[in-house]
Parts: sequence; C-alpha cells; structure tokens
Amino acid sequence: MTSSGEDALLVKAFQKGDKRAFDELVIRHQDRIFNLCYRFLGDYEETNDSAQEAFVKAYDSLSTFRLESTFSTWLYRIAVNTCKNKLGSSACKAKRKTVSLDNPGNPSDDPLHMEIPNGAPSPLARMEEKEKMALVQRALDALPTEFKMVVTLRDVEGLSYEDIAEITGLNLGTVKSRIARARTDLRNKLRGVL
Amino acid sequence: MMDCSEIRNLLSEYLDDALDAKAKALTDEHLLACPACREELDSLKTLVKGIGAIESVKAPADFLDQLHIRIERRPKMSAIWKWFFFPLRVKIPLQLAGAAVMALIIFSILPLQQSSLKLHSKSEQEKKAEDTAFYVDESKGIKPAKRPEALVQKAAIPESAKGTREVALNFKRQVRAKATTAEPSAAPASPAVLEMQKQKLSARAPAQEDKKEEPLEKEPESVLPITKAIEVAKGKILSVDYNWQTGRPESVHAEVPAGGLPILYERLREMGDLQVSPETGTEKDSDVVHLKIRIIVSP
Repeated sequence: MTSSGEDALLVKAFQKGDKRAFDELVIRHQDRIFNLCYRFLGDYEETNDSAQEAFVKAYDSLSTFRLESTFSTWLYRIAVNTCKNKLGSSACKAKRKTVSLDNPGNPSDDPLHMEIPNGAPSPLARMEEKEKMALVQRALDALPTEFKMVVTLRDVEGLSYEDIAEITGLNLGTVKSRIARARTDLRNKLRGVL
Repeated sequence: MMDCSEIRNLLSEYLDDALDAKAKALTDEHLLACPACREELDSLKTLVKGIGAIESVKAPADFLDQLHIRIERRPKMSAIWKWFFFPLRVKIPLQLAGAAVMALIIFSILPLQQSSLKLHSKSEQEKKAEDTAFYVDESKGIKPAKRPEALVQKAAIPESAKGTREVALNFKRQVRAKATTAEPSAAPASPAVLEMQKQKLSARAPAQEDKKEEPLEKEPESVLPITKAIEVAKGKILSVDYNWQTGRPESVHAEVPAGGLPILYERLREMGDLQVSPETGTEKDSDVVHLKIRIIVSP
C-alpha cells in the first residue's frame, strides 16, 4: 500500500474514533513538517511551536477532512498557512532580526547533523560544507516569503508543481514563474558558493 | 528562434521537465548551439542540487508528547465559536436556510408595509381634506382641525351621536351652456378644492373649442350653503368629512335644535332632493338633534 493510502486508512480510523491513529499520523509526518517549518522560519523554537500548532489544527479538523486531497498535501497546506501567519506576526519579525542561521537552537538533538558516509570528507571539508549550507539557507531566508515558500516546497521538499499549487492555493503558472524567479535570485546571490 | 534571454526564462521549467513539447524542443535546439545558456543551465542544476542538499532538521524526540499536552491544554472552543468554523458543506446549507427564512420574513412583512404605505398615502390625501375639515370648539368657534384632532373628533362623533338622524341631500347634475360658465373663483381655496378646480378646468378645456353644451356638475365645492342653512337653524357644525380621494365633501355632522329642523330641511330642499331618516328614540326626549347630512351627487 502506498504511503498516502496508509494515511487515508489512519484518517478513517481516527474519524471512527481511534484517537491513536492520529498519533501514528503525527509520527509519520512530524519530521517533514518540522523541517518545512524550519525552512520557512529559520528558528528552532518558532519551528517547534508552529509545527505543533499545525498538528493541533489538523487534529481539530481531521474529523471533517474528506480525503479529497492526500493527507500529506492537506497537512502541508495547514503548516504553510501556519508559518505564513507566524511570519506575518510582528513578534516573529522582531525575533528574526537576531536569529542565527548557524544555531538551530537545540544542540542536544544535533539537528544539523549531516548524514556523511564513513570515509567521507575530512573535518575541514565538513566545516566548509556546513558553511556553504549556511549560506544557502541565508540566501533562502532572504527571499520574500511568497518566493521562499514555493522554492522550498519544490527544491527542499521535492513536491510537484501541482502539489505546490494545491498547497499554496496559487495557480500553476504563478507557481512556475515564482520558482523560476526565486531560483534566478538565489543563483545570483550564491554565485561562487554553489 | 528564441534568443538567450527567452531561453533562460524557460530553464527553470526545462530543468523540472515541465515545458510542453514545443518549448522543450526549441530549448534543446538552442542549448545545442549556445554554450552560454548551457552554462546557465548547469549553474541552475548546481543550485537546485545545493538547495536540496540542505540537511533536514528533525522534530525533537518528545514532539508527540508535547503535542498531546498542547492538545489537552488548548482552549476549548465554545459551541458558538465552533459554529463559525463549521465546514462549508454544513455552513452553506445553513446559510441558504437562513436566507430562505429571511426571504420568507421579508415577503410576509412587505405586503404589510405596502398596505401601511397605502394607508400613509391615504393619510397624505386625507391631510388635504382634513386641513379643510372643521370641528366646533365651544369656546373658539369653528376652526380648521389638525389631523389628530380631526381623527379624535371624528371618533367622538359616533359615541355622542348614537341617535344621529341620517339626512341625505341629493344634488343632481345639471346641463348648462359652456358660454355661461364662469371661471373658478379667485378666492383662496383649500388644496382639495383647488385640485377639483383643476380637474374641472381640464375637463372643460376641450369643450371650449367646439362650444358644445356639456354636463356640468353642480356639486357643492364647499359646504358653505349647508353650513349657512345649519346656522340659520341655530345649529352647530360638529365636523365635515371629505372624500380623501376626490377631496369632495361627503357629509356634515351637525347638532341642531329640534325647533330648527323644519327651516333646515326647507333650506336643504332648495339645494337638492332631501331624504330624512325617521326619528331616533333618543331624539324624541332631546331638544337637540344630531344630524349627519350625507351629500350625494347623482348623474
């Protein structure tokens, strides 16, 4: 069974009263939603808050969710809107001025741990790679929200144009043109880095 | 053939294999011949790969536990608040039902309002007549009645005139030559009378052209002759009712001493056919007779 098919079964189980089915859905999607929120917000605490808020909203609305789209698309949409609201809040704007891209905020969980194979680059090369990724993240953060959203969904999350259109509520042409513009902007900023 | 700038605008979609066949073929053709655009495409591929290589950030290990606590602690929405967040499939039928109820209420109230409007317009018409209505104040004599007073006065009449004798005064239309018709009096008249005069003028205008004889109404434009007759009979006028549509006087309520009735009847007979209802029971024991003189205009 596909991943979305398993999600649908869990959704139906929840709608029939099995509250544990929701826990299973959270476990299946928490890392992707968390990562997505982090890419949008760039701050670990705010990411944790927004990701939880997205799941709470999903919990409250799941009983009326009719599976017209896949659960993951629906959940992405909730998360994107939650992050957009968060980015629009003045508190978040003020905090983002002082956020450090190199410090996700929870060293004990080692969120920046890179999956590097054994025998791979030296510590110096790892440091350089880490620095490069920080620059890419900084360039992403510098994009206007509407461009950062679509390019993150496409190039970080690997979603299709159609899914991005459904999640963001934009039409397909707008999604394509925004991704193209965002990539052009990023390429200009990261020339010499990537 | 597209130039480099047009091709570069397509490179993002080209990279994602999102171009249609024709645009893809044109891009392929251009890239084969243009090293600069090929380099641009390679640069874009590197960028996308670099963005995709950003390490993912995982949720904390206790994410689910935190979520449970948050779900438990979240403020419970009140029933009213929840109402606003019903899904559209619930809200739309509810809104339609609400609209239907509103429409029912509106369409059931509207006829009432329209009849109220009609009444209002009637009272506007009546205003003209009532402005010329008279009632008798013992101390001040005859004076124009304000509308509410006139209504009160009118309402009081039936109570005080249970033994009212009905008198019908029938004015017959007479035929007169147009040439002898005088223009309406220049004396100021009530709005209702002015309206009547206008109607008469408009009715007379075509007749003036052919000088033919035409029927003329000898209707009482004022109740002056009747009121004079009542005065001669030592009576008092209580009120005058006008037709709210035509502005013509319809009836005169009066109080006349029993002894003055013969002279009143005589004067009224000079004006038209008079029909008098029989004596009422209360009238026999009273020195004063309440009269309602109905003014009838017959062809």
